[in-house]
Amino acid sequence: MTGHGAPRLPTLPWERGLKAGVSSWTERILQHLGAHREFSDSILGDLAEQRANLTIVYGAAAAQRWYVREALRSAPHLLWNAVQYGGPLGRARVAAILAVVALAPVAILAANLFSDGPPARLVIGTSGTTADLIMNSREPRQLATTVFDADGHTLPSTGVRYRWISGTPAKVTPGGIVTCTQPGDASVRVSLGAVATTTLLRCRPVRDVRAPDVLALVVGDPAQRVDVEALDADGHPVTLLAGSMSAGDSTIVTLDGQRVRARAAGTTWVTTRIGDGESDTRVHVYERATSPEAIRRGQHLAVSVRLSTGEMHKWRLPASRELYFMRMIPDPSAESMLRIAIVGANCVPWFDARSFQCAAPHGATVFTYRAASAGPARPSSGRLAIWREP
Amino acid sequence: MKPTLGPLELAALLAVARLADEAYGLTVRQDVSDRAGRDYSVGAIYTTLQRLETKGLLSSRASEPLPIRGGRSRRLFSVTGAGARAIRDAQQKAAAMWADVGSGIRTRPV
Repeated sequence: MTGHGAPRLPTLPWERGLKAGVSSWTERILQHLGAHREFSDSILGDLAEQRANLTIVYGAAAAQRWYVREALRSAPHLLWNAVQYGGPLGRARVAAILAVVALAPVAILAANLFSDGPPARLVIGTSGTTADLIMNSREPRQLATTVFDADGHTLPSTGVRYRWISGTPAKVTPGGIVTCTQPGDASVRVSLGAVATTTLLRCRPVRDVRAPDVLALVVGDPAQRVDVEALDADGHPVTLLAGSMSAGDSTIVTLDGQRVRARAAGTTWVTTRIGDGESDTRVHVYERATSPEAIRRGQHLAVSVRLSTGEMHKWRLPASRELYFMRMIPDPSAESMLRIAIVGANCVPWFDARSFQCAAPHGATVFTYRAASAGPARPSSGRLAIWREP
Repeated sequence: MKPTLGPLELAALLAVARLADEAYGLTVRQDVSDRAGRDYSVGAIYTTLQRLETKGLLSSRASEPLPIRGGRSRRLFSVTGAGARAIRDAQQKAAAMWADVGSGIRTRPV
């Protein structure tokens, strides 16, 4: 019915524009809308015929404009025909076309909003600022630079180049690998195309990191700062530091910068890393209790003690095949005036002269008393901390 | 049950009846647009013609391929017997509706 099997007719001179138009993008779009082939062929044939007529009268440009306008006017009817006669496939195609038409403006808008511009700003380091860069390592370290466009979108940092400019000699490769060979400050230029910035590289090599061997914390107490000391190759303290701390078990302690907060009773480690050095601190976290006399294996208990001059407290610890570890935790605002004495156990110092590890297979008695040097004026307070091995 | 006809369907059916052997999309569109004073798209006309064909009021056939159509045939329409009856029925209904109206119409003075 549509004549597709008809013999090909010779092309007439006035028909050339028509032939080109028949294969035009407009027609291809209309044919792909999914309408019944006979229906779309009839419409397209009529449009092509009228365009040929108009080309003779008004010229090709006017005829083409008419064709496009009429084709667009007929598009909704072709779509409706596709819905009616195209079956599930036709309906799916129409739904897809309508979705594309509806989403196209949104996509264009989104593309404009979120498209990246050229590099506009370089930020060195991971802190998000262009502040000075502290290097405590003597080993080569890769500098990290984040590239932003004018709208703050992050761009790939490929192609960023680095160069030492002035100051203390430091080895800087174009790819950003820096080696601080001696203490001092150096200026480093960072560039990407026409965008460039200069940062101050503060070389402070650290050889040794010293942190407390043991920390005793009580659940519910304020976070406790870990005081760290860093030394250079000559043993001199280094004050300009950039390092990190990590907790071995975050269910027992969490870190807030250089402060450690007790979460639950137990034992874990806090590791401090600065430059090429690191130090481990063993952290014991105790839970509050009114008495240690019922302490079980693996428990960490902290018992509050408040003593005036001449007073003392005593508790009976159960017989244990596991060791006891004991110490006094002074109140933060109080001077450490309370002492421990153990009777009936075999004890040796633990990590300092006032902490003990004790074997008490038949039990033991723990006394807390006030140091003889303490004045008579005010009572002293603290916590007796006891850990029974698991 | 007699098929109902909308205004555009009736106009297209009448155009096909008037155009006889020359009734295809372009000519029907021209005829209907001229008489209705409104520019209908080819798609709208073909949708209407297809609906009339589905209702059995029109039939269509392909003409011989014409070089002017880039190898495509025209789709020629003709009124079926049911279509002719529908036209007469519509005419009678219209006449009945218009009967005795002429003297009763009063126009507002300008």
